[in-house]
Amino acid sequence: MTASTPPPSATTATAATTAAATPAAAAAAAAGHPGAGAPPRTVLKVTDLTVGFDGTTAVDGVGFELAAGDTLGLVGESGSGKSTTALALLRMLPAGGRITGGSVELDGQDLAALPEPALRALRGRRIAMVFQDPMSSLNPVLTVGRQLDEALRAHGAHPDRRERAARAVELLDLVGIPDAAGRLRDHPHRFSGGQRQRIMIALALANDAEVLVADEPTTALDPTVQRQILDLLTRINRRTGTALVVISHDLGVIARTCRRLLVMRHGKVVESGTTAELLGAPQHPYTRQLLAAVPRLETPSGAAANSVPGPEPLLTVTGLRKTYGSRRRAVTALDGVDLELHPGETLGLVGESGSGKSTLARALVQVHAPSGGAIRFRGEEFGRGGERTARREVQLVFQDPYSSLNPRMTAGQIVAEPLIAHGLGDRAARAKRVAELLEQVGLDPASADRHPRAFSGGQRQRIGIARALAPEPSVLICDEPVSALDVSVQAQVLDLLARLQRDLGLAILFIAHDLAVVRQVSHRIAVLHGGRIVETGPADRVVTAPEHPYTAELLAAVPRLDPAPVPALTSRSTV
Amino acid sequence: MTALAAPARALPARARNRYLAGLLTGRGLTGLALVGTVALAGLLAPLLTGQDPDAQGPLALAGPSAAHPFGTDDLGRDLFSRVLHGITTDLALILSAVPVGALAGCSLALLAAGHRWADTAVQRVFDLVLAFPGLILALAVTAVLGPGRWPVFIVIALAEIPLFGRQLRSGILVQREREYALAARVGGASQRRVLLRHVLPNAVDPLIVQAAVALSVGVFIEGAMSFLGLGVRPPEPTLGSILSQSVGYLATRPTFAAAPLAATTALVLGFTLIAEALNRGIRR
Repeated sequence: MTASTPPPSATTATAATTAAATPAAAAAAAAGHPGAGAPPRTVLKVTDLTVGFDGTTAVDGVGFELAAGDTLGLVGESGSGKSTTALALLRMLPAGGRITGGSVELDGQDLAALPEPALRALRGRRIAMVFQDPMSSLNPVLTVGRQLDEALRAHGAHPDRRERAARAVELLDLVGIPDAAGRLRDHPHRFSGGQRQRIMIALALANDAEVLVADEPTTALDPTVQRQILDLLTRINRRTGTALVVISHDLGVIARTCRRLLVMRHGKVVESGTTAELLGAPQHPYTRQLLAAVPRLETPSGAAANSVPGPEPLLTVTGLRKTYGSRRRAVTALDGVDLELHPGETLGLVGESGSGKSTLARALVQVHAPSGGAIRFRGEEFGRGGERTARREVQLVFQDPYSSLNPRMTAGQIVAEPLIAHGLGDRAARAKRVAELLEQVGLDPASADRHPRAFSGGQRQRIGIARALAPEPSVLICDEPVSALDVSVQAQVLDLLARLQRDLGLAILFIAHDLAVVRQVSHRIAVLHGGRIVETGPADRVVTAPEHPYTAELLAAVPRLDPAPVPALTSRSTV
Repeated sequence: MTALAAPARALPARARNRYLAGLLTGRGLTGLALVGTVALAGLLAPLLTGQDPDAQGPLALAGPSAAHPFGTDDLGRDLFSRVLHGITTDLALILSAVPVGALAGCSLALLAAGHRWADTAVQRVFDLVLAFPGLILALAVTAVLGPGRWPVFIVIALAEIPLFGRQLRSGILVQREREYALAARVGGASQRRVLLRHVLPNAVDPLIVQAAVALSVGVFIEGAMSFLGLGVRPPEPTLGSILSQSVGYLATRPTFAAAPLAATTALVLGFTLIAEALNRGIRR
């Protein structure tokens, strides 16, 4: 299937219901956007959009139509061109990128051909964008009120200062910031990540844009916050009639927010249709493959079939505490953590950011010393002999396959580093071991003299795993090892870890925020919340019958692939 | 996340020669041409002119002529020969003093990276050197050693130490927090190995740019010191000392100052352009 636009009748019906069903939308349409009345129109029409980067084509002939008040999802893996498409809509491509063909028509006006000043007048006013990282998208030295004020002033719609302040409060209120009026004078650092993303959305909505483009709006957020933001986007779409374009690598996110869906690969649209149809009966093999690779929460744990944990614990953590900062302003990262890890066992550790997951991982590999409690390795306590064996036998796999590999060294040198550090073998023996390790993680030993940049994300993560395996560890700490990878690559890396556990009898502490992945790979799951383990139990039991309310909350936040959570959609398509 | 995938793929070929790519721009080539011309003229001085730069003649303060292309100075010495030999002296001084200063600055920065106390101590040493304005430093050094080549050498090297040191220190601080450095530590590497093998190679980029900046600062310092009579002793020619001599005749014999001024300007401008080109190259 190619970049076909959906049957116009469906979109038309939706827009009509949206406008008619919500008085706010009708009011907005009447006030700001004449023409958005009874016969719903296409606000955004993209035809044959092609974007090139120094000779390579990143987006190749993408086309779609977006009706007023409609929601459209763009899904694809990294390199599929989905973000480039989003940026091209507003012609905000990074240096080197250029729209080489096609048109982006906003209400009949071709944005691709518009001169820059005219385009600037449209950005933010009629088509707005929300970015991935709320931490860096807000200016840290200006108050939130000031930033909203500037956004409102940029298009001169509100000449009066007090009127702008009132509108700013209204916007913060709309996106669900409590005590909106009181918080206008606060700087961005006083808000949490989720709240900042809400403020970003408020900024984007400041001038009643008809189209809101959200590029990975929740990727940097925790699952429970993600759910709130997605609900907010859906609510805004209903209340104000703003058409949404959501770009995400996560099919669950799209399923939750969008009525229609484009699947992109290698810069092309491989399949498009309504979300329900596409998820229910995918036509294109790539869509099917993508859907199959998405980890589902319903899938039972496969760990027991993979390996049987030994009886004696290998690594025991008791009452582990870690505080940062001075005594007066101490921040508690770990507040008495108890854990046991057996040989051949995978213990899944889930928790949101700030729960202390990474602090625990780093304490176990002795990057920092804990403030209290004890860690025992093979029965010997850290600080009384246990730490020496653990330094070699407990190894860490990092989250980010890009920043965790030294860009100046070759893959072979990176993998050989721990061997040199622990004084294992001479030059010839090391070279042999490096080749063996690369083979073991599924890489060609001949690629040892290539630099990390020559490898893909998944291959880089394999190099990271090979490095961790080099000193023959018995415990592998994996800190979010697959969260930076595409779903299809994710599955391969998980398979690799399972195979390594089977072959080498490794104990794995698998830290992640994605419960579906964790259930799939773990024997047991421990839930970390606020520096404490709130629940531990067999993987399947924790997911199916959580005992702690926080675990239940986490489970509820996991975006599912069935599009049911967006209730209005099914009724809309029947209207 | 995905937006940059396409350009990233095109990067490797270019990344290897970022310095070269930077230099091969209009800016870089202009800089190279300026520095190259002046340096070549200095190196080929014995071939280009048969005149002894220190030989005095009867013809003082003459304008340009066939025998004396740049004219003569107040003592009747051939300016063409003096400027060419002056360039050699300048370059020899700068090209030896800047690396010494760079090396000392970088060593101190590495030492500082080792321990918190060492860091504080080294930082205060840098502050101390920076606290002295260049000329005061020059005066102090000359007061102890007397005028000559050595004070110029020492002042240039001293002035460069904190610049290189701070640059490298900030690079180390940034790179040390990167995950690959942490990975090396977890892999069992010693602190020294992490620093020298992992952190340092990733922190040197700005230093290359700093070196080009330092060379232009070197030309400037030599000129200023000789101009004030604190530098290389006459009759040995340097660009600064010739300029210093010419100032008295600026109103009556403007051609006197033209050649040394042009050479100094070309060097400073050339090095600055090269620094800027390299900077853009690595930031690309």
